[in-house]
Amino acid sequence: MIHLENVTKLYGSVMGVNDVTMSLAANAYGLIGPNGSGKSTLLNLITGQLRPTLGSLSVLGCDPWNNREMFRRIGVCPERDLLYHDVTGFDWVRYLLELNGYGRAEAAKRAGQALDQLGLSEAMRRRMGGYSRGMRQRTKLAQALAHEPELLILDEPFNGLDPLGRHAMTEVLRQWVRDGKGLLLASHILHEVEAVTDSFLMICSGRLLASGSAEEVHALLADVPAEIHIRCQGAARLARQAVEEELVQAVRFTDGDEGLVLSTRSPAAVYARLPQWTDDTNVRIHELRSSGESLETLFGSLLRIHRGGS
Amino acid sequence: MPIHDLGYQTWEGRLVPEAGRWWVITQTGMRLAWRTRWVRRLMLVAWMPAIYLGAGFFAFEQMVAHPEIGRGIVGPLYAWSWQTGESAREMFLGNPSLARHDVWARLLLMFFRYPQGTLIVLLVGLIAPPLIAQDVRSRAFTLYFSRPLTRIEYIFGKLATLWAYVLLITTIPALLSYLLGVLLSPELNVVAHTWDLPLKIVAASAVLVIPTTTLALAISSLTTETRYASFAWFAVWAVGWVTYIVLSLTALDSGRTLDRKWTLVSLYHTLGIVQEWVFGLGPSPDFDQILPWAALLAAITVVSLVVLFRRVSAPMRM
Amino acid sequence: MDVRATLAVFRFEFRRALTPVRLAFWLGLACFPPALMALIQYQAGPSLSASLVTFILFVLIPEVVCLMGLLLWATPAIHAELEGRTWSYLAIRSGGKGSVLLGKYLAAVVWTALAAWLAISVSMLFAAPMGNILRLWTVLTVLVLFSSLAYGALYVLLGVVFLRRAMMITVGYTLIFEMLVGFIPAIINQFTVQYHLRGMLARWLPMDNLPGIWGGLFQRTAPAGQHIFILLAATVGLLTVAVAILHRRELVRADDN
Repeated sequence: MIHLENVTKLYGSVMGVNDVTMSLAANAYGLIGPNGSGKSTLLNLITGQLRPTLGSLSVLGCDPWNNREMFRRIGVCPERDLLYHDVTGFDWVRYLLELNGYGRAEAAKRAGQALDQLGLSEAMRRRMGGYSRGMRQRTKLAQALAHEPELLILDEPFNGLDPLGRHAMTEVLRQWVRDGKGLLLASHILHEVEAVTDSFLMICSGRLLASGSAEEVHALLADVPAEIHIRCQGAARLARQAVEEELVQAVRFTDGDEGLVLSTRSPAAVYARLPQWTDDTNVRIHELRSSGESLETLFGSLLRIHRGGS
Repeated sequence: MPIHDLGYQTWEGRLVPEAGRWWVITQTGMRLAWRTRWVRRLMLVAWMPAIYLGAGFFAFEQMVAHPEIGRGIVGPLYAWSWQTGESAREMFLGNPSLARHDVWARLLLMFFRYPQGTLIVLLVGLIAPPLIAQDVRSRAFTLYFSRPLTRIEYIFGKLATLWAYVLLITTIPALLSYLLGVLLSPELNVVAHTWDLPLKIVAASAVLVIPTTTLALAISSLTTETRYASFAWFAVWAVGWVTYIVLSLTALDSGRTLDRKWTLVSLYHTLGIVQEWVFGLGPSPDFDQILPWAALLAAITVVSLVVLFRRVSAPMRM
Repeated sequence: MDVRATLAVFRFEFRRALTPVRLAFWLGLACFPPALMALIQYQAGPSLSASLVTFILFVLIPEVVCLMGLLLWATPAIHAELEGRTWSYLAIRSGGKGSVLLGKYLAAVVWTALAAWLAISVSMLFAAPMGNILRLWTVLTVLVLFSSLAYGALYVLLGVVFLRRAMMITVGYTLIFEMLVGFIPAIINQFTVQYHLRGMLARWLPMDNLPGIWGGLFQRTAPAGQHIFILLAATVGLLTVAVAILHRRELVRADDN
């Protein structure tokens, strides 16, 4: 379905995508990465909006750059909000279908069906300027689905949706996947993607760091040491105590002798022992916090592995 | 588990004084505009006429110092380019040093009217349209006014962005050219003859800057799409200018001189009338002579300010 | 080029042009020449020569009205989509980016030409000195068509090359080339659209006895057919270049910034 070989995209001296090689068979995939990780650049390369600076890629067997034949076969829902305030949802979707080559009557029929499928039958004749964020997101999805593409590419489709909207969107996408059609869904929130597909591509700093199933990602997460950040006076003494008890895999000092980061696979044990350590070493702790989201930690670890660390 | 102090925490760093908050908006606006390559290019082009102005002062002073050159070449050239008639020519060729004030003032007026008069239309047309339109579109007002910033400070900050750029291509080069003219003069008594010109430069700049920038910002505040703002800005100048030229043409065809009052249809020509008066080159030094034109500029400023305040106070109201 | 997609864009854009704000712009543009003609009548009386009235109408309608209408619609054709963040939806359609550009170009030309034709028709009420009003109306109508087509193509190209500052650059270009260079009695003015429009006007209507420097502008240097051919060729050439540039440019980056 999608094949990339050593694809690099440079914006001047800024690297958008860095030497990505991957081959995806027809299936549903979640593209996971933090904000600014290169997801949108990768999707723009796949949808033929950008040309790779280096490397080559093919989508549905053809070069996507300005490929009108391929555009017929894909449906794209970009991340950015749509701003045709003075046009009705129906007119807009019909217009885009006409641009896809459908006759006016057929385009109108398909636009009506797609908007109806997404629960917009009542709102479709109203101007989009009066739509809520969730309605605009659903209208965006309708224009991507209406011409029944083989591959659906969605960039952060859950943005701005309330819980009900998220649920409805998830159901539509699940059905799409059940129908055996291709899906590439970009998001920076793991569980959103997990609700739709169990195949993941993990991207960070423009590099494809890992790919695999949900189980594999969770296994990776479980295997990633948790980080405990401590700000105290006498960090070296505290670190020594932690290392002696073999409860940590690594220690890192920050802010001279005042900051300490403990990497551990047994955070609960460390938390349990910490009061005793502070007593024994006479160290006063000013601040104690665990690392951020586990996904963030995972990306950090994966990046270190890619850079040759451990 | 991280333990945070969630109580109110006062900022203990240094705050920008209240009176200077508009400057934050101005600085940001200037910085953003400067990022535009075309603004930088236009600024470069806009300084070129100052060279002509400096050269004009120098040539005139050389003519005064060396009358034989002046009478032979420079004098007739000036007299030819003058539009004040035979008396000016006689005065000019007869006693050039007496004509100094008139010549310097006219050179400055030409600088303000022709090259800079056109360039500010382009420069303001480049910078002003997104200044407020973008804030309306992105609903940035909610961010601005959730801070201790008044609407007056916001508008003043935006206006000052435009003033800074317009002054950079009008007042500053004119003042520097004046200084250059003095430095290139053979005697220091030039200053005694022309001491009031720097003040007139500042006054002419104010005449040019205040109504035009206020109008440009008001137009920007009326739309969320910069193309409408750009179009409306250029249309104001084009429609007035074309109207006046066409009326002049019809008067020429029927052998008449067009009444001066018709310049009121054109913003460009209205500015010219008032600036001419500021430099002491109008038909009469009485303010009454330019009252309708000054009133029109004042009205443009006031109406634009009213529009600006209304739009900034309730940006979603159309 | 996909004709069906081009027509779809044209229909969509033309419908969008029927909003109150856009109609107000349209009406304002169409009313400017008749209003000025009425002012001239009031100010100068009925003594104006036929040549001068023709000249004024030529300056006001195929020049000013067409230039302003196209400045508003043709120049920012692509930038408006980028600013509104709607370009990515259009660029991934099989109709192609070229069809989007051409459809928008057509909508701009029709919108402008309709305003200009209304302006011509109403202005005829004030063209009293002209013996043959119908001939004047027909000539101006034809000139408006070629003016809209040629200037529209030129402005669309400028809008594609200079995406973000298109309007300012187009105004600068018009001032320098069409208004300044267009009046220089040398070979260079033949590269302006205005030169060919003037040539056609001089062929079709008598343009003698114009006051001042204006008299020398209307020379019968070439047959009207030659001017028409050059303008049409220029239109096709400019549009082809604009579509080619649009085809090659990566606009998503500009959209994202």
